Amino acid sequence: MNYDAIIDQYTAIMGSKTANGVPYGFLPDKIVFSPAGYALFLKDSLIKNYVYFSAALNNNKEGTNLAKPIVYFYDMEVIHTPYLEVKVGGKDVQAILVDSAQAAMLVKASDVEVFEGRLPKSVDREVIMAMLFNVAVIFGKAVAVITA
Amino acid sequence: MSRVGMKNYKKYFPLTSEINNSGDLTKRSQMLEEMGKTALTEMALVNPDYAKEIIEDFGGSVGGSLKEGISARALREKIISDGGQFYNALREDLTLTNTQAYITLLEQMIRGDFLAEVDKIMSLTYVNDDLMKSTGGANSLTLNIGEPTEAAVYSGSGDIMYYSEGINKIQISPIKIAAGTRIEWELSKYAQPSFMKWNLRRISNALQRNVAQTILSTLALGSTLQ
Repeated sequence: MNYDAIIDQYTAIMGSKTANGVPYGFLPDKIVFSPAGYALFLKDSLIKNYVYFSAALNNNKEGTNLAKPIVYFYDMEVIHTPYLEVKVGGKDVQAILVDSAQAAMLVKASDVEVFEGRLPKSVDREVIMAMLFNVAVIFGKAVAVITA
Repeated sequence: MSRVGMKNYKKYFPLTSEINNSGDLTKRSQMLEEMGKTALTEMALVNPDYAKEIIEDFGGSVGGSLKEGISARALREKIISDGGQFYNALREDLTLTNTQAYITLLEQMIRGDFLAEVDKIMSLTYVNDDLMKSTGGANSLTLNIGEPTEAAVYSGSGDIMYYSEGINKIQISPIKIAAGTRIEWELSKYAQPSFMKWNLRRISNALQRNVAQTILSTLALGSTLQ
């Protein structure tokens, strides 16, 4: 994980072509970091410089925020989540770049539903929440992964 | 509905007749949404019983629209910000046999909590709700995914190629995920709103973890650019 790796995968998605040599036209618009990946991203010297200079440029009278959170990286929304815990090829995934409009489809068969009732042979009640859904990747070339 | 209830009902819903007479569905849903956001949330705080009565009384399509019209997050925030009052009412509601309105409020609170957290991860995908609308007993979807074809200039007699590389079929069957928690009688008896809220939040956290991990793992494993 470093600055160059992100740029490489960004351009890989944009450069994806069909077997006929026609560009798909994918445009990555979100980047998701795992905690380990985010740490490496923030420690990259180029990113540190970006944070340094952007904070200096945005200086105002509202007080000092020493390191502002990174909301966008180029035109990709930055999402930092602890839930990205998966290995690809035996290596930890540190970031995913995705064209969210085309890459995958979340098929919802139900909304989040809540059930509530008394537990049998008890005075206690239980609350259960359930959901029917699944996810499928439609265009594998609209998603790129950065591994450790 | 009692006379007092009716009085409050009029006070909070002065536009009911106007809405019912309005043929314009867009306008009607806008008004219902406005009502849901302002009147019902206020009413739920002032007196949860009236809010409950109104949800029950409306029933059917108008009730459905009304329920849909409420911003779950707004309602949740209002209710949580005044947790003590709401949970005191909740303690009483737990003893009722007909707890439909209570469940509606509970559901909106938990669902609002869930969506607030997992929304960002769900936004990584295109959401398809075809199976939610399915009434024919379908329990899986077959998606025909065509590789994009090339647009070209055709002469009058040429055939247009729709999918020059054929079609991939992907079958998706939904998986059921569930999480639950126990609310001890003592919790409601002694009205411990903060702890109960914390306890309920654990369900939506558990569901969030599962949904987020499923989406992210699928994306990572389905990627061909590794």
